[in-house]
Amino acid sequence: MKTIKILFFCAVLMSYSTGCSDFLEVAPQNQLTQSSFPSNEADALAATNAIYQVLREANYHRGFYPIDDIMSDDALKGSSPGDQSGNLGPFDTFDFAPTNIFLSGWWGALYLGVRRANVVINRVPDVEMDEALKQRYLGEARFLRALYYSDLARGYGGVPLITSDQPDLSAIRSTLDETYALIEDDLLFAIDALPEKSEFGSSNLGRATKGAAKALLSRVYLYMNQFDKAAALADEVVASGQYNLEPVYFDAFRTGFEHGDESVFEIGGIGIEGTSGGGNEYVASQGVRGTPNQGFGFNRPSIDLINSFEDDDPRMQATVIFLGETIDGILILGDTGTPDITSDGQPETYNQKTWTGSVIPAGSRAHNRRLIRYAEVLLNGAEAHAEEGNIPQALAYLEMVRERAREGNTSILPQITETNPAALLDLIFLERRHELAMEGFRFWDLVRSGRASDVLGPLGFKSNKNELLPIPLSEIDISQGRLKQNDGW
Amino acid sequence: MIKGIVKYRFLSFYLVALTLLQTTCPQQAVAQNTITGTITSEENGESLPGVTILIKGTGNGTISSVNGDFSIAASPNDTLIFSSVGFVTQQVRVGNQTVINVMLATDLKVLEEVVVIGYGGVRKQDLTGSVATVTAEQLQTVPALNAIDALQGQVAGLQITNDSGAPGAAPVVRIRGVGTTGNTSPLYVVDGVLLNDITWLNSFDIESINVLKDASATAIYGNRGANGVIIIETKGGDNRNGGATIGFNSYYGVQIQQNTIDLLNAQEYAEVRNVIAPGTFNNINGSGTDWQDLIFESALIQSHNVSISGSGEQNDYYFSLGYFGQDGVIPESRYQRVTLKVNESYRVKKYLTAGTNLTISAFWQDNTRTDAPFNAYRANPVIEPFDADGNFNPVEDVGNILADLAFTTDNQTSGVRTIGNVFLEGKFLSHFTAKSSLGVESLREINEVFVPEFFVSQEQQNAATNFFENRFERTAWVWENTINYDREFGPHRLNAVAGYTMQQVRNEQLSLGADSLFRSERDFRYFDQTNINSEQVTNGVRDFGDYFNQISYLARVNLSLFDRYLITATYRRDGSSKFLQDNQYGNFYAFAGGWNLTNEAFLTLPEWVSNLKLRGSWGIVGNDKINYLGAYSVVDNNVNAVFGTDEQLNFGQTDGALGNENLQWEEVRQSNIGFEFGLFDYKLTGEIDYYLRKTTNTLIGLRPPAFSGNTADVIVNAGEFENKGIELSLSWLEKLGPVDFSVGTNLTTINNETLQVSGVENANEIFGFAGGQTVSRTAEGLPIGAFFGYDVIGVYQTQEEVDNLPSFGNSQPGDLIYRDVNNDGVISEEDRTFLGSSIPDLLYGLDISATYKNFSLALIFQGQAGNKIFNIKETIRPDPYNWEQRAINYWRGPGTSNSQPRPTAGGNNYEPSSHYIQDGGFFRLRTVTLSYAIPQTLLEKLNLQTAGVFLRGNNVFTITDFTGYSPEIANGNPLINGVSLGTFPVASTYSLGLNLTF
Repeated sequence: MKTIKILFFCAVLMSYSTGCSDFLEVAPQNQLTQSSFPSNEADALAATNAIYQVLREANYHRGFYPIDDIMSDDALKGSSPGDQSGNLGPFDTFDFAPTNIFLSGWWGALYLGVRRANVVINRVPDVEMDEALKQRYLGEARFLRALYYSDLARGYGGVPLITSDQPDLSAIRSTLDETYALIEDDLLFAIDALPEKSEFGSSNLGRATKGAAKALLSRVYLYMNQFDKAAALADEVVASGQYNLEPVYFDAFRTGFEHGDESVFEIGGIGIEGTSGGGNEYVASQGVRGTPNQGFGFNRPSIDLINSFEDDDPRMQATVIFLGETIDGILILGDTGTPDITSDGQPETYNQKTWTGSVIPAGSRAHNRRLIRYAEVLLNGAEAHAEEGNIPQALAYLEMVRERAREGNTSILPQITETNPAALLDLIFLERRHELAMEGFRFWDLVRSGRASDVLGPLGFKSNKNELLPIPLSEIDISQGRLKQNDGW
Repeated sequence: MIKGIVKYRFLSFYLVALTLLQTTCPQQAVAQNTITGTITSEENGESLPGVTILIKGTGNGTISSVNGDFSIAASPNDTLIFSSVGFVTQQVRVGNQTVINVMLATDLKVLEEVVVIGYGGVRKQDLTGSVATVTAEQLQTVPALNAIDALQGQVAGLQITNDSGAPGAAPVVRIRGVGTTGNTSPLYVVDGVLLNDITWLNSFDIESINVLKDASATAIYGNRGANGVIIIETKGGDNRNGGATIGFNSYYGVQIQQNTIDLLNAQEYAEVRNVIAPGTFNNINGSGTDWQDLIFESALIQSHNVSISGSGEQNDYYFSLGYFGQDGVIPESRYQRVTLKVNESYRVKKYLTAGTNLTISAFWQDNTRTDAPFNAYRANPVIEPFDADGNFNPVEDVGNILADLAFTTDNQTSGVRTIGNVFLEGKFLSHFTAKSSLGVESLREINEVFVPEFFVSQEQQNAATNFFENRFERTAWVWENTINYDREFGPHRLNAVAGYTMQQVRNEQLSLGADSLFRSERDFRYFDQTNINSEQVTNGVRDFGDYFNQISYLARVNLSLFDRYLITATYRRDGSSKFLQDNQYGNFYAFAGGWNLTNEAFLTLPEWVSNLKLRGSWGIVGNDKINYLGAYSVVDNNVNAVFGTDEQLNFGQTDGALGNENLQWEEVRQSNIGFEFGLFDYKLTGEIDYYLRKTTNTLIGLRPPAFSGNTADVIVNAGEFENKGIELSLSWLEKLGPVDFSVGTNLTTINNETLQVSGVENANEIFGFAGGQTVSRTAEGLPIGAFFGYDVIGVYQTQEEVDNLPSFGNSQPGDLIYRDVNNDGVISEEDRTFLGSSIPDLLYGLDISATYKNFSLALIFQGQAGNKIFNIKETIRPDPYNWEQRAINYWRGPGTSNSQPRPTAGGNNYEPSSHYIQDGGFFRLRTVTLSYAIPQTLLEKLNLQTAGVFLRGNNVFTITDFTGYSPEIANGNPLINGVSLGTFPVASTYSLGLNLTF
């Protein structure tokens, strides 16, 4: 009897152990895995949307306002004297180290964008879906990948070129030429695949367009010194008839003029904290410190920039917020912890191009950052034509920009008639400084025009070193030194 | 919520009250005779005074006189229980006897003691593995939430570090060094239920703790045994006194912050800041604000327990109700726990026993800002906490800590955890025992955080109210079935066990958050349209990554031949859903042997050698402590875009963390050789062990290069590590005149070394990152998480030195000189080098106790040596932060300082370097207890069995060179272990307590 009981007991056990062979098969709960994504048209769209999210990340913008403008003669760290003086302060004096968190933050954000683009570029082709839509998504992904790489190339030089969604972790740096070749290839694809801005419905404005791809490639060609191609693409954008300059300069940046005529590529934002809710981190750190924005007030327009504007250029007032000024009926009082003017004459100023008027910090996250403006396309065209010797066309584009800047006041900003190519180029660069001030171009313009050490040397710029940023030290560590540091660092 | 608490408390009291009623029923009166007799020692025939004689099932009893005589009234049906410390308890049925003479045998517990080893027990003398036993008494030496805290410094090979003193914080527990770069905490087995922590367990309910260290002991736990196993048995029915025993324990204590960090005062601070930026401060005198002083306060700790334990004809039972409450030394922190325990077993049939062990544990936790000490450390001392109007003053970059404490501490966690099992145990065929046990664990936890609208400064504000709620649920069960075979054949003994187990663990959590509540009162904090704009609600349902099923087969044979040759073989096969396909099953096994030399005829050991045993073991055990999602490459949601003139959110999804489908268990191969000895009639007992643990297939979270666009660590089996060392524990018991004296000590040496790091793309090193910096490097030949940075050899005194010595391009006089490790003439990141290890070379403990009459004094010292602490607090900074005291001795010009650099806002001097490495060794008076036992005569009057009061100090003093709060710096992640980031410090505690049984 007992033996039977034991056998029964064992049998029960055995039946359980053998009957539960799938007991160990536990799938991840409520979690899509990469092998099954994207699997349909909706997935393909979601994967494409995700590439744009990086554009609102603080780390993406860190590359712009702290690093390049603060490194230039146009802007200072800003904020109160102590705030972020350890991490951000050194960009004013070229004293930053390869361990600086903004450098690794920017690098990481740009490659995060690259990775997301690669998900679409590598896997959406296999999704069964509408072919036309598929081409558009691929075009958007290629445009965005090129956008991210263009920052990497400009900031760090030749970088590891990651084009697979399963990247080779032992990748090494490619040359600058190879990097630009990839960017060019991506943008040429995007130009073919993408519709013009006017072909998108109003609810899709902010997506990459044919015009944006051409404008970006025109900009990239300038950096590659391929002026003929730069000129041709700028001409195409102008000829497309998609864009116009806003009659009032300040409107090109304002709430209420989002995705306006002048906007070639623009990053949307919703006034909510956190990027998943739609907040755009670009302005959060640049709003007026204290009254009224309760912002952080980084990226302070310098007295040098203010003084460089031509007399009565309305763009100066539209670029710089001064204490006591009233914008949209709101009085600017500024911060009690920041000196109203320092001993070397720097007033407490703020970047007006990021103005939102919001009195709560979250509200500032609604600001749309205009990443490519038509005015820049015109100036890129002017520069390229001047380099190519097509002086009349260069002067024509330049005058379009200056004419708008006059806003009808014919007594200011006289038309430029300089025909000496070298002298004209100097004037075009000066025009860029004023038209595109605080938009992240100045430092790189100084570098590519060979004037960085003259202009920035007194601030601490060292030739053969500061033309590029250092590769973040953590990246070199992780790669076992396979990634080589830039010269001079 | 509050209602729920009251309900639980009421229920618990009710149950205890009910039990009290049942067990204290008066016995029926029967005719009684006077019984007399003499009690002598079996060993030497001497009479024994002070023996307790009790009538079984009653509280009636007496004590033998100086001559060993006794006299007691008892009826023929009664059974007398004779008990005395150090002797085997004897029971004698009265019958028609009137004179009962008893000889008590010396208790050879040391030998007969059964050690719990998982799925059974083994006699101490037959044990082949390395197992340390801690008794219930030892657990009561430290007033702490977590019973494991009492083991600090008490067990060789066991390192317990309290990195945080926040009420409710768990200590970092490590057995025999660090063999993984992942989770190093051991497995806890409480009454057979396998768990990851024991915070919920009332230490008064614990009967014993066994720490399983070598492979022979842990292999029976297969893939979860590699970090060591801590087996906890809770109390069962206490039948020593016949009827029921009621116990009451209570203590109150006060916690006092041990020390403050010596920082610059306002005047010194202003001086240093003025060096960096001349003219920043004018005319700052005096000490300014001592922010540390503002955040620490003395705090209460208390514990109260009632238990009832006993046995009847057919059952043993133990009930208890416990309360533990601890306030933190930082305001707005508190932890309270109520535990209810029921252990019962019933002898259903002669061959069948059924029972249950059940704990219901509820806690309420107020969470404060654990970063308050770090912020106090950094805050500018020139700034007053309040302005003239009583508003919080802004504190640059740090925030006003008092405002943090005022606005951001509305943060509570509460939960109920039920853990228990039901078992059925049957004996058959005279030597077999079959047992089936079903264990369950259910945990519900809610965390609610509310942040009001406030404004102190741009950096410290909240523009809209936020409410966040996280609900966590765990449901787990384990079904274990074992068959034991136990038989003696003359001088031989055989014990074998085989079993089959299944387990499932499911965790789920739900997080909800919302902004801009209409009403902020606590009564309205629900996710409901009454109070929350539904458009503002963000939510996510997320698995916690601890969702798995497991199937295991186990077997073990213990053989003892001729009372002296011992052999143990252990095997476990585990299948776990945490791993994919081919890697699901793993085999783990161990072999061990022992030799009791004292029982060997041909060896004539000196007479003073009472016991000598040699034992050795070898085996392979696994570690499965990984996030199960580590095998999967996942997709992230809510990666949204904003498009359109109307600014709409467009849903986005994309690749998230990368998985590794080839993940396998970590494997630890461990060898152990040890001696156990008892000398001079067991006055001196001890054990010496040599251990060698080698971990292979170590799971390492490797940070991929950021160019992969993936910043989440990828887990790979990519390392080999070794820990070896010696463990020694000694205990000496002596009677010096009227004083009972005991001294115990334990020592552990740890030699930790990385043998190999491989597995990914030529990678042969792993870096640890903390505070935005590379702080450790793990590579062949170095300890795990070895500190990494520049080696400082001085301070550049002149420009000439900067020019002539190796330097960075931008070095200046007054900067730290780093050693040019690779001798290339310049300083670069290539010159970073090994700066020390956070793993101590030596851990030690010393306990001394003396008892004189009714007084006893016990001291426990504890310490460690040979480890370093990376004081990274000093390096994370922009210039508005305060400095430690040494900064005032800064370099002021040639010849002024060769150790402290010139003040700078940032830059090379703050790179990780030996300048910030400190010696982490310490020596601490962990516990001092003075206790008094109420004399027997008084007890009888009070109708008490035992009663004692004690006065106790914990962490009374700590001798260390470390400049922080406490040198106990640990992190669950071994790659950043020993990096001092400034957490909630551990306090000194002084308490007064009372123990009663009746």
